[in-house]
Amino acid sequence: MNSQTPRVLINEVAENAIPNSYDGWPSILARIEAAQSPTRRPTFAWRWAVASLIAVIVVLGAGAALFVTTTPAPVSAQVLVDRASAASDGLSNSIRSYHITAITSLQPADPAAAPIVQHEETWFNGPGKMRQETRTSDWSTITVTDGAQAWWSVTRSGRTYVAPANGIRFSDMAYLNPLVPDGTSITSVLAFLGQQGCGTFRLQSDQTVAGRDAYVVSATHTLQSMLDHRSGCGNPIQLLTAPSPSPAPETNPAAEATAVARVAEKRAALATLQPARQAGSAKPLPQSAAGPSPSAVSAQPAKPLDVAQPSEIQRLLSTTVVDTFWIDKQTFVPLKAEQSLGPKGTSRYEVTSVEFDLPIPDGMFKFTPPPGAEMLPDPASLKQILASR
Amino acid sequence: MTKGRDAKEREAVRRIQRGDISGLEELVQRYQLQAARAAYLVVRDRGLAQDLVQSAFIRAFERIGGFNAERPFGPWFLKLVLNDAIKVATRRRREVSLDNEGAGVDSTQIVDPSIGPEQALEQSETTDQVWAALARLTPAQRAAVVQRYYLDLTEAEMTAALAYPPSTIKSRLHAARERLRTLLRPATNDLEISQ
Repeated sequence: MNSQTPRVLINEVAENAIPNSYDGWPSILARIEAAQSPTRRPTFAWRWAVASLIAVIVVLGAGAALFVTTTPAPVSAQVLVDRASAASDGLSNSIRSYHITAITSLQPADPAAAPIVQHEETWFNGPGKMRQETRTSDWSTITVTDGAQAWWSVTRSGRTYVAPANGIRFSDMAYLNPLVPDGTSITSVLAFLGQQGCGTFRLQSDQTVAGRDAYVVSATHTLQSMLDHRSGCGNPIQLLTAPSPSPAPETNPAAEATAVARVAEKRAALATLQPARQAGSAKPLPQSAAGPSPSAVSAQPAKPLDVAQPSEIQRLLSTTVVDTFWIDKQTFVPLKAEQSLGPKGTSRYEVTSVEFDLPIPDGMFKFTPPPGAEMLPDPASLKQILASR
Repeated sequence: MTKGRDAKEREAVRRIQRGDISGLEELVQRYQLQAARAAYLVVRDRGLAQDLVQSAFIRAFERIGGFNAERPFGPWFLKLVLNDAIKVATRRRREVSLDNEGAGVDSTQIVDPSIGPEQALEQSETTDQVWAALARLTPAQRAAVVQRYYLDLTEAEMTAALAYPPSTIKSRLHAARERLRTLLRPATNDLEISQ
């Protein structure tokens, strides 16, 4: 044992289980052929019977439609979340391209407080090609990748900062957004829910968003469920690190408790913007300009949660989080999302216009840093710059 | 991977995109063994792993129209397989936990669940120790170990191939290594897990 490395042992285990003689091609071919083969044609009599049955069903269905306006879609909510996660992560097989404009608004629990509003525009052109531009009154961002290179650019107060962002998944793009704390964007949350398979999913009546029919799925989960192995939700440390390039955490009980609290902190992170916004807004701002500037946020950094207090950890663990997603019925692209942050307020994402399968020139997915831009080595460095200036 | 191999793979992808299923057969023959073994190490069930890989090939076949043939097929496909394996293993762990049943050659056959991992390891054979230790990792941690120690990807390759941020890869590997060290330490004091 001592002389063997885990690599050798792991290989031995794998080779013992799946021998070199294994060949799955016949089964794969059979399954493809079965899926592609036409169904057996019915006999003439059967055709009449089937046609009559269809006619009856059509008549009954038309009659029923007079009384029933909405019916539950025959799909699983969990499957919808999985497919929406794939679509938002650029892995959909049902769309070639899209152009979406959307608005993300963060509404504090105090209804009198103005929401923070961010306008977004996204272009997708098949696997690996995506461009997303966001803007508020205080800054704008561009995140673009052509499949080979990825860039993140932030312009604030007349200065532009640029960093290569290679290796960033679409669902990690929230990390590259000064406004949206990582883990709270729709793509990140969908990826988390899809991967971890935790929570209670419920399919509601269909609705229309931006002129398109949408499934509506709500997901209810607690932070406690992340710790419960029976829930299948995995290690909270993974939940913490999966959506964003966070520093590697330590794996010991104390660190796990901290990690649990930090997961909660991520989900409640919008609240950390609120004190800075209130302090920095001496006079009311118009709605579109109500968000805090990154400098305002950094001037009053969020107070870390007191994870040393057992009661605080217990309170965080019992927090129930409800996320609702509106998912395009044809393409599974998320069209709208509402995330409850409990006492901290709500986050809402809503598509205002969408166009699918349109031609988008490749140049849209190229990026050349503008003259005078300050180049940073990586996104983390850029985030540090934003926080320090 | 050699340039010739790259060219053959690109051609295979293009053949599938033209509707020629012989391209898929070539990719199956090239990647099925590696994919099935990787999936097995995560889901710990031979039949399930084989089924996962077959389904992944069919899904890749259906999705290949939007795939850029200039990109390497292997990392993209193995990402599909490992993500599926993580999902299945995560859900399966709940079922096993509730039913107290294992499947295939599961660690429950070699590790008495009533004793701690340290004692269990002392009673096990060499590969059993690693197998049992892997069982104590979460599916995502097992996947990280598989990528690093079975698929022989560097952290940079894992980042590029699976499109995870480098720090995510590092933190998963770090967590997996630490747990492996803890689980294996009593029986293998000087076991070295390369960084």
